[in-house]
Amino acid sequence: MNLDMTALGLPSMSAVTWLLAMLPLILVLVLMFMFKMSGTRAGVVAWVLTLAIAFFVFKAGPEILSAGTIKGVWTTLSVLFIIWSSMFLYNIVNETGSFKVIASTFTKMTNGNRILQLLLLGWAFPTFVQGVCGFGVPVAVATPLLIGLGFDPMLSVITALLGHSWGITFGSLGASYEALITNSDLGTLVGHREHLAFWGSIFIAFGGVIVGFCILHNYGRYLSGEEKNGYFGKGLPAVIFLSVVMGVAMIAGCSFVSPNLGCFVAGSVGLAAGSLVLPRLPMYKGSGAAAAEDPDMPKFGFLTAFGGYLILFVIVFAALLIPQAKAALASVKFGYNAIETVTGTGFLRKAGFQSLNLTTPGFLIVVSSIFAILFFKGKGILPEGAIGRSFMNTAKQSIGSTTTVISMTMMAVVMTEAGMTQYIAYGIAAVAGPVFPILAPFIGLLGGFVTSSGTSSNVLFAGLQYSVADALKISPYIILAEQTTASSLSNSFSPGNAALGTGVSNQSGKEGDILLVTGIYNAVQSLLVGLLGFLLVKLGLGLY
Amino acid sequence: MSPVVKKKLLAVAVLFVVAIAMQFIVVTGNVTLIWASIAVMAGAAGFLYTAC
Repeated sequence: MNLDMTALGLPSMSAVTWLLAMLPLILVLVLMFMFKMSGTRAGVVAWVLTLAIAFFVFKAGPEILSAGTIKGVWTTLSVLFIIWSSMFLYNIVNETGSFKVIASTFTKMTNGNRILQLLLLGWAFPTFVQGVCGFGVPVAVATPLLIGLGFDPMLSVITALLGHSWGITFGSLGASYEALITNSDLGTLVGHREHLAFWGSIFIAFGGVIVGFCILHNYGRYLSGEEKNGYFGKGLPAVIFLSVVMGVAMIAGCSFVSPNLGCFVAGSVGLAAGSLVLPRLPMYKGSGAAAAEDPDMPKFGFLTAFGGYLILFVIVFAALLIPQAKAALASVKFGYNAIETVTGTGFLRKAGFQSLNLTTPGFLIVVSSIFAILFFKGKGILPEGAIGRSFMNTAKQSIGSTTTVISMTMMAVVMTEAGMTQYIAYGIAAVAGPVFPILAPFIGLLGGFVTSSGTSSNVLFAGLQYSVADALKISPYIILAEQTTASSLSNSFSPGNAALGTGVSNQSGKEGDILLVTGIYNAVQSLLVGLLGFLLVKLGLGLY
Repeated sequence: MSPVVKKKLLAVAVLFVVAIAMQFIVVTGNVTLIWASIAVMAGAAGFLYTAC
């Protein structure tokens, strides 16, 4: 199809320019995967290359390079706030010995079955958390819990990354879905919200099924000998059960409750059904090893041990679901005025106030940590000097991911401000033609990888996806559903989220290893989503 | 706190300070100053590179 790139303020379409726009992303992947360079170093090198390509090829002047870099650094603040605050909360909870109690409770509840523990804590639980509070919090909360249960740290990070990703579109109280709606031109059609919610939830549920299989497959990489024999068959019923239960709950939640609560409904149902039903199924009854008696086991119950995280849920619910509380917190803002920029080819980025307010998850986790400290002190289980030690450990554990997030985001935001990211996406659309439904998810994946956010990917590309679907006379609902599903799933493959995962699991520098695994899963996921979309479009479905 | 962690924290702090300075410079529209601030930011990024 013909796309007039110059009308969009971008250089005219050419394969060389397209490859140059892709070069920083390719460089990051090559440096991290082939040269095992840390995320921070790869990000710094790619940022310098991005500046050069933006200046020489995309005619971005110094004010754009400068404004993009400033915005990049600024954008990291909310992510860094989450990493540092959630790590601090984890360290406080860890100081009390609560993770032993949590691990013991889950071991008993799941009959000691490792697959059930992994699926419940690494898939259903992050989905539940994502329903209320996204922005990396599910990964930050679930990863330490899985490690506390004795799972390999790398397995824990990858599982939490995969497990939470499918819930993003209808999670965070629908932030990503709202971005999808408002950035496409669907606002002019009556009933568009319901129609898009329906098709979106179908694709997201499909994505959830794939995620379940990916988690199970990845688990096998950490098994050996006897353990590995037949593990897939043993885990299959649980994956199918959770896929069906959470998928149906997602579709029903989006269709009959609210798209803004779809993920919360799916996560709640999945967690409840998974905890109550799965351990009672014959194949999981008494299938695991009995929990060994630990002489150092703290003498308090699960509710006390989980108290720090329960406090977090209560505070997040109160802050986001009580309108008065949300409005009051949102009214306290700080930020800066980003200037309007135009490239030499006419690509415009409007001026705007870049702000953070007190509903930012990092702030809510800090408040929760304070209440958790008071709670544990009240129970008399917080040891002397725990707060100081938690601060020191948090700095040590979080600094690696902090530097990675900063360098990667600087590169990514300069790319977006100079029009390079948009150019890549339009290039895919221009060459795709009738196979566009197969390639559409890869645009969502690109957006998610570059911005580390499903919502931002929808902001960037929902308009493009809608325009191409309109030009090709195919269902915009299916194309937008593919976009949002792929951008959600891509959260397991974004450098920012990988750095968050390595931060909370104390594995800084291993972002490349994580991205290599999740990248392969993500490519398969996007292809399957694309094939489903292609099939449905061929059947003439989704037209309004 | 180990020297390595201290160096990384310092690199992050420097980067944020330079970014704040850049914001004050970019609104002036002075091209020479903007290029100079980008060069300083590149130096800060280089420090971050060596610290990690």
